[in-house]
Amino acid sequence: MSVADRISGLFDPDREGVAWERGLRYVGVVLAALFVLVPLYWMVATSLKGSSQIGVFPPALVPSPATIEPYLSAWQTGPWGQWFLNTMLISGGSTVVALAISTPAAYALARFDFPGSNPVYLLFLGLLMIPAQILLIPLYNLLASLGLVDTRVGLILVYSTFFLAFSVFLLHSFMTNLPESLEEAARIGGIPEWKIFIKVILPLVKSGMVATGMLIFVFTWNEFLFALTFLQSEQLYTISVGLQSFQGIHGATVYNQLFAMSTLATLPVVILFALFSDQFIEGIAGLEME
Amino acid sequence: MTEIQDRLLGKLTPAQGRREWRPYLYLLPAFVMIAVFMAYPLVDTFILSFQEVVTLGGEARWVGLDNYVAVVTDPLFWVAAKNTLIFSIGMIIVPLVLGLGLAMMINRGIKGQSFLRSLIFVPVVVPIVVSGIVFSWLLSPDGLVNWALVTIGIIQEPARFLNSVTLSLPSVMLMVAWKRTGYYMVILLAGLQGLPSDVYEAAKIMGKSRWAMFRHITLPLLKPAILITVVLGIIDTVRAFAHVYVMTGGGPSNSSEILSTHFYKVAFSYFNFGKGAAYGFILFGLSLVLSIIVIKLSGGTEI
Repeated sequence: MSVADRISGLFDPDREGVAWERGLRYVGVVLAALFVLVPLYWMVATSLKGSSQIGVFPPALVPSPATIEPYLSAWQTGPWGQWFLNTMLISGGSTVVALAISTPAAYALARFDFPGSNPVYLLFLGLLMIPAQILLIPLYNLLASLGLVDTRVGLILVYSTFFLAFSVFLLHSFMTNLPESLEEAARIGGIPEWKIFIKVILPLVKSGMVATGMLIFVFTWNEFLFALTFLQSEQLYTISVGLQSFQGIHGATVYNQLFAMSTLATLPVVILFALFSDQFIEGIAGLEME
Repeated sequence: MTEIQDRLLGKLTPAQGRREWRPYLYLLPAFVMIAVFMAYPLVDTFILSFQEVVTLGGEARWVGLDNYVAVVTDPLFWVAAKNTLIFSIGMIIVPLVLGLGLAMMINRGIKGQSFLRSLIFVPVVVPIVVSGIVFSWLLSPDGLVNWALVTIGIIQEPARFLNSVTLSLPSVMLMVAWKRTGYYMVILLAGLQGLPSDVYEAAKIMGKSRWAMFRHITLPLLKPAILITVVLGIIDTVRAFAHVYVMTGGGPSNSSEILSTHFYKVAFSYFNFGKGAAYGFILFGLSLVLSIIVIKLSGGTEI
């Protein structure tokens, strides 16, 4: 049963409520939906306007004629292909590393009673509260001494560490909800512990790993501050840093191109979300509700 | 949240697990990563905050608490602190109120609720840099917002939102509210979904008003979910960076400068690493203390 189904089946003091109240609810939700949609619509609409339709007041609400010319010309003004590839590699790499490290950690916390498990749990909670940017200076020095400033690997290591605690919490909540009977049966059957983790736990927690991985992917795809600080050569920029530099250099004159690239930068994460919105939402909600 | 509270308050011990050495092995890789990329840098910042960097990457001189004094006596720190306080209205309170309202509307069963819920969540996944750029354009003098306001007749002349000392910070807050409302809505919706329906039935039989039910049942029961959004909001407020950096850069004349953007300038634009480190620690302390207060408060007053 999806979250939505469960919600609609629950308490509803209003089911026999008066029509105007129901109407008011729709008005509220529709206004919210408009508030969400207008900026997104405007981004896409602007990206489809030719140069002559930019900087005109009043602005045309619908691009006419619509043209993909801004996409083509923007693509040629910067190494966008390279930036997309960088972002993909960095987000993908961070997601894989974070999952690989946090899954066993979450398993230890969810399924074992060991001395120090409470402090360790609280340590992960504390890690969630560290404002990332306070570590910028020493991390920069550390990466420099490891020769990892201005590399994708450096950023992957930093991202996967910073999303570790988040990932542990999410996976922990998935694992505590798993029935223990399979594990117990495997133990009684004399299957070695490491095999239980790999053969029993991992398959069961796969959907949780997918949800967590997608959240990490989206968050790292969108990250800006670390990428801005640790990446210096233009060839290694992520999309966000590239967009920001593009905005800085070209200013208002090529807004249509800027929005063409903004649309492209947004598309992958929105598509991912559209495909897996239930997992995303239950992941976010599950983190808080565990 | 309840589990976090219980663990913080020491009420909870891990449940029927097995006692052995393996869990330490499972935790080892995480500890190594955390030690190298978080703990070590954290200690490093702490040391750095008592030093003055004489030559980049090399010589440092001990200066005691000078850096901390330098931060808190910097008038710009207090400007940024005040702005951060105002900014947190947009970062926490507005999305919380809107999110709660929407969660309750959707929760009461309306057509297409699953779709609406997803739609309102979409801004959460839009890259922050993109959100900043889009809102800069929407709010520009020849942008859509000005066009709408002039057309309706609310203002005569297009306003320069982002170049105005009074309007720059609210402009960023508007974008933040757009981006976060869906996030809070989802958390609160999950909280609402967990509320027991029989309590409401009983209250209805007793003839309680809708407001009384909201005030005395929904709000108290929803407290853990509300508090976690507040804690997340505090942490995110201290972390917020691109929000301001992309839209206004902290200007004009520091009117939208918040602690995190000012911190970045101290450290990376003025290359004052020691003062930057002290600044960082003040930020960290602030978010940690506020978060723990909120969590403790929520655990201290049981319903």
